[in-house]
Amino acid sequence: MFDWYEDEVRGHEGKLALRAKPELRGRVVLYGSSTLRLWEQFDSHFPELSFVNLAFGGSTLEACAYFFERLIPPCDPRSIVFYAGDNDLGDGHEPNKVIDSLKTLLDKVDRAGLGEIPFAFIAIKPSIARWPLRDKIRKVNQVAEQWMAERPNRHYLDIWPPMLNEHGHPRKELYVEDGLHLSWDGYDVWADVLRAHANSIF
Amino acid sequence: MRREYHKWCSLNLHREMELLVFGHAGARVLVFPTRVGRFFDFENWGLVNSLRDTINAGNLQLICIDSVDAESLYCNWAHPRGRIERHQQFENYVMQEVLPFSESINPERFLIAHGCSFGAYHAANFAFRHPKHFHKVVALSGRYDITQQVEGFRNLLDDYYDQDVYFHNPSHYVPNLTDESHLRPLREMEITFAIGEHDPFIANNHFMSAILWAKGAWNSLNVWPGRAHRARYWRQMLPIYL
Repeated sequence: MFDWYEDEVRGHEGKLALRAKPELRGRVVLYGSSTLRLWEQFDSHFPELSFVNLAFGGSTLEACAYFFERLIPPCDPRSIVFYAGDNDLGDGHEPNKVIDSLKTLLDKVDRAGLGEIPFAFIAIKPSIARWPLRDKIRKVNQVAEQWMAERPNRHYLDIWPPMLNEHGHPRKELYVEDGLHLSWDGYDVWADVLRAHANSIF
Repeated sequence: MRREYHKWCSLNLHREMELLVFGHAGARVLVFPTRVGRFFDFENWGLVNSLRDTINAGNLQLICIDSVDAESLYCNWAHPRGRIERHQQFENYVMQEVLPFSESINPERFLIAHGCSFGAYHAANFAFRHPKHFHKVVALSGRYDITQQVEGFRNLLDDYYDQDVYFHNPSHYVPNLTDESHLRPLREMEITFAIGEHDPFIANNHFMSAILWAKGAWNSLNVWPGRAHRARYWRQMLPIYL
């Protein structure tokens, strides 16, 4: 079922093996789908931060939960910045299924002994390509926001307000041509949101 | 699901016109049939059924109108001037008769224009010409230049051109819109296109999307695999986009 991601996950595992030195552990981990994986200028946005990007292309929240044990605990992360769910809904999954996957993931975070580190859930973004799915996206985000509020170390990062124009539609300049992935301007907006929470999520 | 059949003699078209209404409440969706299509096609092709849950929940009300394409833009024997005049009469019928009728049975203000194939042309053209009336347009597998010949799809005006042709051809008049009172509601509208990657009109869809963006009008162009120009594709698209 998740064979499609296997190569990229193995690549991350190889990277982690190289990094299994004490000084390379304890970083901020970016985990999730391609929108995070493609944040190539993250080090420019946060030059002071030690991080490792373990997001993998096209991944669903369901796949992130599935591969969690193989990728995240070996890093012994200092915090997790997470983004996924977009592709689950794009694949036609109903919000309840995505919410179930989020619960599975959060349970795995706890079982791995990482329940006390900061966990930042970036809200599923409003995008031009998936604007027709916005009601479903809002439903997942609403539950995620509630769950993140249940613990002081969990954080819901609401990137919706700065990504919408004055008419309430996604701002075109924040996306590349596919209307789904972020442009540099889009990542600048995300960086601003993360910076606003930097003290608690990094 | 509430289903109502209505018929009256149109003062604008001087003939009887029929329509079907599906649903009891919610956003009003003006549904244009495909090329020379009929008001019952949407139901017969399973498209109403694809929206059954949303309609039954009271979120959408479909008004499936008839077309006069066979007397207007597809009336090949008529002089093109006559075609565009009949087309204008059809627009008058919709704006002066169908919309007031729709408002009389459903107080919901939100109005959506929708159509598949040539119905998408009608939907987009109505919405772009009358943005103060329409809040959303969902145009699937459409063409937005009726004067362009693409593959076997001919120029519907046979090279005839006048001001009325121009003002019913979105690919021509939208790029030249400058009136802020027209552009403002157009920019507030939610505009969704979907088209197959191998549909002969995909280039025109990209063009239409680009010129709308250039006018500051938000729109979403969704490209589907293959040609995607059949009811079975529209049955999948509708629950997503409508």
